[in-house]
Amino acid sequence: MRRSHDAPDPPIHTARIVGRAALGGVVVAAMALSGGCVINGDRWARPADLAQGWMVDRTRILGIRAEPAELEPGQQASLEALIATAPGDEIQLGLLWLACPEEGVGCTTDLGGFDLETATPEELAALGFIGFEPGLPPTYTAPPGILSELDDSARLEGLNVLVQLTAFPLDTLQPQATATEPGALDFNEIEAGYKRLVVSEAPTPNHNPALVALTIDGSAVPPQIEAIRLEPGQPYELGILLEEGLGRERYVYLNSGGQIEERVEEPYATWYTSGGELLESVTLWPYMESTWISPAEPGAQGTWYVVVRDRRGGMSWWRQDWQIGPP
Amino acid sequence: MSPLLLWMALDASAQQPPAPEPTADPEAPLEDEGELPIVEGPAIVEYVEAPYPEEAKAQGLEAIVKLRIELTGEGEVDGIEVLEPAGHGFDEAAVDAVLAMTFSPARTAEGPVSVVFDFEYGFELRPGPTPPEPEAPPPVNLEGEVIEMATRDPIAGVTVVVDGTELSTETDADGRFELRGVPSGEIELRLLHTGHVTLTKEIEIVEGEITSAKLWMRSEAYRDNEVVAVYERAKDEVTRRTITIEEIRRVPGTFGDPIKVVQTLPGAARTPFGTGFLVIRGADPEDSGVYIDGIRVPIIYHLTGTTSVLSPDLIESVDYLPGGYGVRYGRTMGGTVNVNTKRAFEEDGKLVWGTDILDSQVYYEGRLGRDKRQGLAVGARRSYIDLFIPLFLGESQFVFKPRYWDYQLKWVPELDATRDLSLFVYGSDDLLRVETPADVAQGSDRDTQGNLQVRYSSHRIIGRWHEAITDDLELEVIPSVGIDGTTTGLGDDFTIQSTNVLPQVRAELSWRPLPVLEIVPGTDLLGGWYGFDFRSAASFEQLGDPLAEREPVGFDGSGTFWSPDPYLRLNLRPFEGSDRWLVSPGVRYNLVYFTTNGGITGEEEVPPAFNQSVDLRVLSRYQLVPDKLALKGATGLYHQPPQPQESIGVGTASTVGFERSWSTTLGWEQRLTQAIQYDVDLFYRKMDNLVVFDESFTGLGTNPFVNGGDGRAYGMEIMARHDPVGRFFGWVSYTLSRATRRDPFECVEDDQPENLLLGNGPCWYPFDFDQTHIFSAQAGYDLPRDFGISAQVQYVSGNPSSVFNAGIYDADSDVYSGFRVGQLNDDRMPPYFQTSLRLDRLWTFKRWQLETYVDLLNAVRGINPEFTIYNYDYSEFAFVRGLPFIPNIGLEAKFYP
Repeated sequence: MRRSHDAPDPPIHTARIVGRAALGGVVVAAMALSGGCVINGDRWARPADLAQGWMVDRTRILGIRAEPAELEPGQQASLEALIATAPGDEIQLGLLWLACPEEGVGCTTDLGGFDLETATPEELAALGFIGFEPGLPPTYTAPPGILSELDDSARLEGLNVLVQLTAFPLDTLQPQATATEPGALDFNEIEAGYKRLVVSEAPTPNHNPALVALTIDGSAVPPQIEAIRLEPGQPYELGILLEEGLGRERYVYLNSGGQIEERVEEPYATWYTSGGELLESVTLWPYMESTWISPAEPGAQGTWYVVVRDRRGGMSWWRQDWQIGPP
Repeated sequence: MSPLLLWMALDASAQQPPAPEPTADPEAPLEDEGELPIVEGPAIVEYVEAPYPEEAKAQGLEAIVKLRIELTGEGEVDGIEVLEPAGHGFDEAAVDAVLAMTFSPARTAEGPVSVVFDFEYGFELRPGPTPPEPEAPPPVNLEGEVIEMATRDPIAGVTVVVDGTELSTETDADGRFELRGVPSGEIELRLLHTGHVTLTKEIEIVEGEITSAKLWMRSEAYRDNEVVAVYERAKDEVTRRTITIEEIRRVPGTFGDPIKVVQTLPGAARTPFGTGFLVIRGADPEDSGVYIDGIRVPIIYHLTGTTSVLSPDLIESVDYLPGGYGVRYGRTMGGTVNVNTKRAFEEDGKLVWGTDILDSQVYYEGRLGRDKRQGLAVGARRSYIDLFIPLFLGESQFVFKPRYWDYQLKWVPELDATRDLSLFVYGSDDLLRVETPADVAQGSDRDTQGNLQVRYSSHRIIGRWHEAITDDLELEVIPSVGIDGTTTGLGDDFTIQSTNVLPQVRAELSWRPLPVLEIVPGTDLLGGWYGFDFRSAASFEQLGDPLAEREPVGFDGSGTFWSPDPYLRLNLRPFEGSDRWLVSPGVRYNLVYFTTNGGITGEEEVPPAFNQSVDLRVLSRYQLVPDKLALKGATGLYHQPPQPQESIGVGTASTVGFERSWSTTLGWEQRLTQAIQYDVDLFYRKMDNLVVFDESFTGLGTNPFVNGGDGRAYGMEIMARHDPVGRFFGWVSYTLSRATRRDPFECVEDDQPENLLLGNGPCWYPFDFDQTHIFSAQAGYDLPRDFGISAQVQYVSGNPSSVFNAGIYDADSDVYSGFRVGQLNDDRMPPYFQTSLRLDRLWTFKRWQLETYVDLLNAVRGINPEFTIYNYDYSEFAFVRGLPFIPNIGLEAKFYP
């Protein structure tokens, strides 16, 4: 007779609790508790700490436009810039305007020793100088022969002229600052920007977008209101209304195959604020709304800016002051 | 080879046969013919008692005969030397007895090895009463089988003792035993065996019955049983790194992937998380080659960079050759990593399932068929990060969805002793997808909106035929064919697709006409057909101009690529063919023929590009003290064809040729103790003809690239390690290096004269991954109760970076343009530092094992910058930081069906 005796699972371990295993557990627990320990973590900025593009907390160029937006040869355009400053900043800015062909690295005019008061118009034109504010509003006149070297189809699309704007504190032009204290000009206080000004013989030249109103939660802000009062810590849906037809222009384009295409502009809006928080800083057609969270502090005040670009060189903007009232 | 001193003290007498269990002196070092430590000493399987010499017996003499025995890896006595003769017939009797005995061989982690050990055979007279007439032995009433838990292998040589009695026996080769005359009632059976936990078992013996017992013993070294992968000197290469797979899998941060450990070895720079780049000894990522079973493959890591494309259980070993490798490998200037897959599988089969926070995988290997001659391994893995991320982030935000899967199938039929055949099929598919809600803009450009998607797939069939034609002649042929596909898409308007079909053949003949000479001709053929298709809503020029009218563009192209690359290598072993001194000169002929049709130029055929070069290399390794101290060195030329995108001229024949590197390595390796070794490498790499962007490129009819760059990389690498002997393992690696580049279009004013040796001067700048100090330390300790704890510390100098400021505002696109200040890469990011910890526990059951672990990744860390980012106007910057603290919990179950 056989008797099977298949042993059950033997004990895997001796029952003795060994201190080192427990010690290992303690070490692991300590490391787990220290999880997130970052050496010198506060010494360097995090990406989230960087200044947001939608926040106006310093002097900024937010837009540059020409009127008309697209020139024919020989036609003159006036130029305008949207410059925002931080709330409470009373700085007086000087705006230097230059224009040059869109080649290389832009307008490289050397203004060292340049005297606006004594320079002749010819000297100014040779330097690409087209204006200085305050005092000399910027204008640009396209030379009549600017497109002469292009063939017929290229003239329809035209070419770009680079308009360059430099904004700087006006007090740096005081004689004592420039002559005796050359280091007084802080380049960090200079804002520089440029835009392309289209000169063409297009049959449907571009126009700047026509804006109708700014909306808050779907309602247009009445034009007579200087600063709209809002509740603290609340989300608001900001929107911008474009004028029918002129908001999104139809135009023709001669493509590289020699065919004429009819196209419709697809504008986009960029949003800025000097307070609160914007959840969308860029919105593309047809989404022309952005969510804004108002500041939590009653009494806070600031400004919204929205710039609409039509992707053909035209742009328009709207600004609206706001004030946070008690809840 | 270090001396072996395994003392075996045995007692013998004519009256009382001793228990022939050898005992090993734990203090005594062991020696074998290789490097790995002996984990199981030789043992007597069948003891033979020597007849007492009549002359000595008559004279009442006793003696101890000291013998030195040479035992082969098959357990056969290959030689006996009498160290201390005793005379009087003792010596002859002892020698005859040992020759008649049966031994089990000594074993290392890789299997049986031959050993030499000392042995004492004692002769002792024990006067006593005349032995009684032998009685008839009692019947067998207890029989049993002793099996190892989990692996279910029978255990031979287990001493089975019935406590409280004189009864004992040993298990045979099948793990079986029999005992006679075991007293009835409840007995306590004790099982003892080296390498297994002593087992005590209560058994009921019934009078008149035969009791059968199946007894399970636990191995003391399950972890060691998994030691199958080593980083070791590849055939005739000079570099030598040895790390076991079990060590690697317990290093926190490797996610259990053996190939990931390459990034902790000397010479390998730290690369950003998720890239999977291999940056070795100052070479660009594309300068290093990755191979699987000798076949060049495009990627070895999934696109997340966390895991490799092969199942860890299928990997047998990894050859990491940071430089100074022979002519077998080519088309690269940097390092080489070759992953060898297993060729032998568990006879009874093994099923593995593992899962952690990233993915889940299943793997099976075994030997099938009636005679178990068909080896088969099957594995598959799928990530599930893409399934979990939406649960945490919701659908209203940008959703990053990486997804990957891979599969493997390997068939290894057993032919005969001279021929090997295998067939390996594997593939992987990676998808990186960033989903964006339709009403959320990603910048102002309407043509660069929508979901971003990058997909990469790779599939290979790799065969291998190896035949030992004669004792001196061997042939290895590895044919392969692969198909790789890439798709990059952004929204509905932008796609780039490419498909490559790549046949490869590696064939190598090894002929050894003389013991000192081995002649190895071979060919490394890589070729294929490629095709690409590009669709975009606008041309690159239009995308760079915010006012440009957009027109869709699209073109496709195709071509062929052929590179046969024959080579010849001589292996000279001046010391009678031994590995004491190896000198290996070689020559490789690089040939590339590249054709392109279509592309930007439409249907116009572009003239083919043809490049050729010759690599001369020589390697040497000399064992100053055999198996203790070795000197090594290598020098040679390495040519690398330009990358595919650099090989295509825009409407003209490409004029871009090979990039070139002259690489020299000198170093030594020393084993300090049985467990501790270190090696030091000094390296210098001079690179020229590097492909750089040509600033004079003007578009159609010109080449965008030119062989105009130079590079230098030099430094020192140190690696010290403690082998997994006992409970502790670990290694420390440190690299001190400098790497620079020279680009004729990146020159700055500099009064410093140009130093071509060190790479300094006006046009020289630090390499993107120039990391002065690279330090890493990994260690593990086996705690009682099958707990294990391991840790990793890494410190790496920050990568070079460039400084930007002076943002100029483009009012047409609402974007600032930053301008670089100073020279390229003349600043440096803060260093990288991280400490991780891992605690694991192995549970062993009869038919399966379960390992659970907790990885505390980056528990203590620096800010670990990966990239520099600037704010909108370049007035502020911040670092994109590396991985945060990640507690990774995982488990792996192994079933032995």
